[in-house]
Amino acid sequence: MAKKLKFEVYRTADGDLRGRLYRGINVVRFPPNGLPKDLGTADRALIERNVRAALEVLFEQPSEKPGSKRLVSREAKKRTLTANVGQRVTPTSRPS
Amino acid sequence: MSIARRSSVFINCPFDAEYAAIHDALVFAISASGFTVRSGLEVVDSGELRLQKIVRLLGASSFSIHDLSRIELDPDSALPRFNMPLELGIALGMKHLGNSKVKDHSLLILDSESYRYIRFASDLAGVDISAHGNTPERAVRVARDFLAAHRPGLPDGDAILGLYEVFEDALPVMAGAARQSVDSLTFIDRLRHIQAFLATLDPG
Repeated sequence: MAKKLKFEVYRTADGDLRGRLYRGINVVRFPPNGLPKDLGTADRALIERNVRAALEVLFEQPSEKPGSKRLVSREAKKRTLTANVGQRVTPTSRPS
Repeated sequence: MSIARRSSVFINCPFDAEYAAIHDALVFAISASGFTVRSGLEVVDSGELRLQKIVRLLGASSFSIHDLSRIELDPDSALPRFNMPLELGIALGMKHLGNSKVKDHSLLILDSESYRYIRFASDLAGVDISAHGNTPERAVRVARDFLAAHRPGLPDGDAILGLYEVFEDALPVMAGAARQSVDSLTFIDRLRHIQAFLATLDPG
């Protein structure tokens, strides 16, 4: 059976939020693809603030599973893409 | 803006609402694979002719993805939509007749069914065409496999689809923080949200 995928949002030691996709216990590495270099400083700051806001929501999302604060089950979305994804790990803190 | 040609993927796809799920999933998959999406939607410049823009973007991309799945008769005009085959023809012409700078162009042709194209473009017989069955999942997997042939070590289709689900969860919040609604996002708006999301992934 394919190993389940989990997305984890964690806070680095300096307070930044970052995301990680796990397959089983292994982190799935995606190729780097940062923001375009031509973005103005204001645009870049705004975009980074927006994605941080989204990660905050994912990070703070309350558990839907009784007895577990870490696993968050995901309701079926209008675009269900794969059955193996659907659990998100949201630890309260994690070292960088 | 200078974008490396070798990491650019031009997408030649319908832009209508019915196709949006596949289009959006493809844009995410290409971005998550470390490539830059190039599209006729990225430039809004009334001073540039549409065909000129497409030729320029194709020439600036080492890769292109062409989806022929929407070659259907328009219910009003009873005529087929032929922009996608036209742009595919430009890409094939560039690959086979272009100068040495663009002849390395690689392209992926998609359709809803594997051999449907025989009925409307039989000259493509013998060309590998991939079927996506009108599903975003299949389109993502096929596009990922095409790009993985040129960039080893890419995460598999399951991983990209899994990450896409998370992005779709996060998008309303990102858009809301920018005082945008998901339904009103332009191609560029959405692409920037994708890039911002990907930029927050653990760099390893």
